[in-house]
Amino acid sequence: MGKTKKYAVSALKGLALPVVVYLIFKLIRPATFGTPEALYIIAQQAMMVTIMSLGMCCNMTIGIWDFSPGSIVTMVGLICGYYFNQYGFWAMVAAGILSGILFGLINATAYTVLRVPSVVVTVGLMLIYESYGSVYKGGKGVSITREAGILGQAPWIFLVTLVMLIILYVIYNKTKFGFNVKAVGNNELIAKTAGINPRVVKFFSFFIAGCYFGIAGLVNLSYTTALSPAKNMGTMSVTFDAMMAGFIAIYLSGAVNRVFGIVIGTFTMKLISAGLVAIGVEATWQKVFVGAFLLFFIGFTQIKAQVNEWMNRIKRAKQVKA
Amino acid sequence: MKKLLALAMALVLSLSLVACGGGDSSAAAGGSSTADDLSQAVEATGEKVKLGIIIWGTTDALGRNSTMMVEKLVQQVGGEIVIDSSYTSPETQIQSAENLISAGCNAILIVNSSDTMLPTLGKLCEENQVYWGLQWRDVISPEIEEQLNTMEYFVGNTCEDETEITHRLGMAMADAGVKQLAMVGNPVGDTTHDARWQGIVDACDETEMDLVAQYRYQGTSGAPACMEAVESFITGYPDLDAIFLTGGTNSTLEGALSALDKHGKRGEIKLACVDFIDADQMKEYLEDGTLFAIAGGHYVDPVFTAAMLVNAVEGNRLSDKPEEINLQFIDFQSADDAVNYYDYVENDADGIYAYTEEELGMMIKSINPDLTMDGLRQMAADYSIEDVMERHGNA
Repeated sequence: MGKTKKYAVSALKGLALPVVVYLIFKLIRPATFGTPEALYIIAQQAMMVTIMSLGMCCNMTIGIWDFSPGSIVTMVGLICGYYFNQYGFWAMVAAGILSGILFGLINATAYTVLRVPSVVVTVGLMLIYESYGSVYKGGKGVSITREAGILGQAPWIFLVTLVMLIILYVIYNKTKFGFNVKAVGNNELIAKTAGINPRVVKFFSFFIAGCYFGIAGLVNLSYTTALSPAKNMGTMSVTFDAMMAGFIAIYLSGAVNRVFGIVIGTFTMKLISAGLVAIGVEATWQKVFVGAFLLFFIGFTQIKAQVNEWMNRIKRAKQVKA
Repeated sequence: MKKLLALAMALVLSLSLVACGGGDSSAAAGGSSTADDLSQAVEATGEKVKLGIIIWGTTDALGRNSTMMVEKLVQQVGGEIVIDSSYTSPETQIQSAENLISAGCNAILIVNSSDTMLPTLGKLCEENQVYWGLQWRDVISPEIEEQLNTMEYFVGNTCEDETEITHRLGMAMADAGVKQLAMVGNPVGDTTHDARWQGIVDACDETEMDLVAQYRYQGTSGAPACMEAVESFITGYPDLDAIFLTGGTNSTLEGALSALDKHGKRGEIKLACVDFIDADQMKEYLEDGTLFAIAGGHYVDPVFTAAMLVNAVEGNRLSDKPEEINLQFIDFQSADDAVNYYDYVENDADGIYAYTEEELGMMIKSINPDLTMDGLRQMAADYSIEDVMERHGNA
């Protein structure tokens, strides 16, 4: 099979998921669901979560559980809002980038120095960030003008996401660090014997994630133009949205590159959320459907992989016999 | 030697704990009361009021100003407040109550997340002889209400008729020609939001208005979550006329407005909600028609239950059974209403609020010996923009 044909088949396999989801909802509500205008809005909705999920990509590959992204995105948004109201647009952009770097360093240092499981470190940090957000500058929340939220509007929101996607694609697929991430993710012990220092890899993985969450925080504030502090793990739902996209990407990785799988994952999840509202599913059942979809999809992919392996074994056994 | 050292350290630790406790109970809380008022208040039972408040937070306008009003009330008798907003569910509100009791609180004011936790909370308060009451909440379950009525330390609750106000707003929307309505609310089980939700459902049943789409927050509400909900409505219902938010605090209303703005639907899809937002935004949105109707002003609600608690702790309980106080929402349908409200009823910039410190003092029997339960109930019943303007000489 030619390289182009191979890429085309992979792309079709990956895109099959959102297309199937789209068709299901379109069949139920043909007149109103999934108009080009609606898809455009859903695509914009998916961008902030995509940046977050891209940030989580390396950590998820290594097997690190990070529960702090939502709290960092919220905290960065509050900082950006404050700097916009004090010093203007460029100060807000700088604050987003710099605070992302800072949070990345804090997370990375806390994880590598404390040497406790990532779940413990990141839940602790999440509580600290959320609490700090509640007292930061009086804890009143922030708002910015619509004009200042340009990075949350099309086409800028797509461009920012595209830049972040390209950067991660290069880091993940074309650099030594990216290969080290995959090596540590596959088997930390073997990676160690191959001369890779897992602690260094994890440190930079957390650091990159923090930088992405900083940009996601900036985009989030630009998109919503208003933000309030969250507390008592209220930021977890945002983290889970990004995590779910990451899970879909993991299970699509047989067909498409994980970085592109994340984009497909976030768009699919947003499509499902919008579709459930559009077909009039009662509010309390909406998340049940989302959870059921995730279980079904991942379960189906897992079973399919097992069946494939089983078939291959039978094939091999037959060949050996022959 | 080690044993001696351990003994010495234990002694030091014990003494420091005793010192901390002592310091806490004798700490002056400030406030503006006169020395006579204070001594009179403390004389009634000799017990100083330490009121614990269990609330979602004090960073938004509703949480901040309501807590501030309660603090001013408690300060009239030289008391203090302790705030706990660490809960994550109705069940963890029990832990919040335990924390407050451990911190020495002799009264607890709670905005309960559901009815089901109330008997457990009541039992805890009975065992510890701590007075308690509800703010912004009615007890929906008759069985639970019956249980609470037998509890000695439960003073009662203050609530608004949540179903009535949203029904009224819903009927107003239907009268204005709204045919397709979508609604956003807190998760099922939040009794206040469920009651508000029901008011709109009732209005839809009685009119030709259709509740075509609905969304309940999962986890914390806020601008991003509300924006996502509104965008889902926009994408699924091109003919949508209006959106109703059962709560507009925590930037949710701003999130809804931002979504409408972003997708060119501002003015085309009307918004209505409960809970007020910042003055400038509110005036602008009412003037340009983005906000169809809004109800709120209930930041004074906790003051009335707090008054029942303060009187109970001081040994001047106003009633020998739990009492319910009803407060009216203030609803705006024009920018003029908003101007008056923010000039006279809730003005953070100038420090103007619905009740002055002197008026708050009149809710406490040790300061106002003529106070009765009916009198306190009447103060709540009278609450309106006009009432505040009249009391403050602005009529």
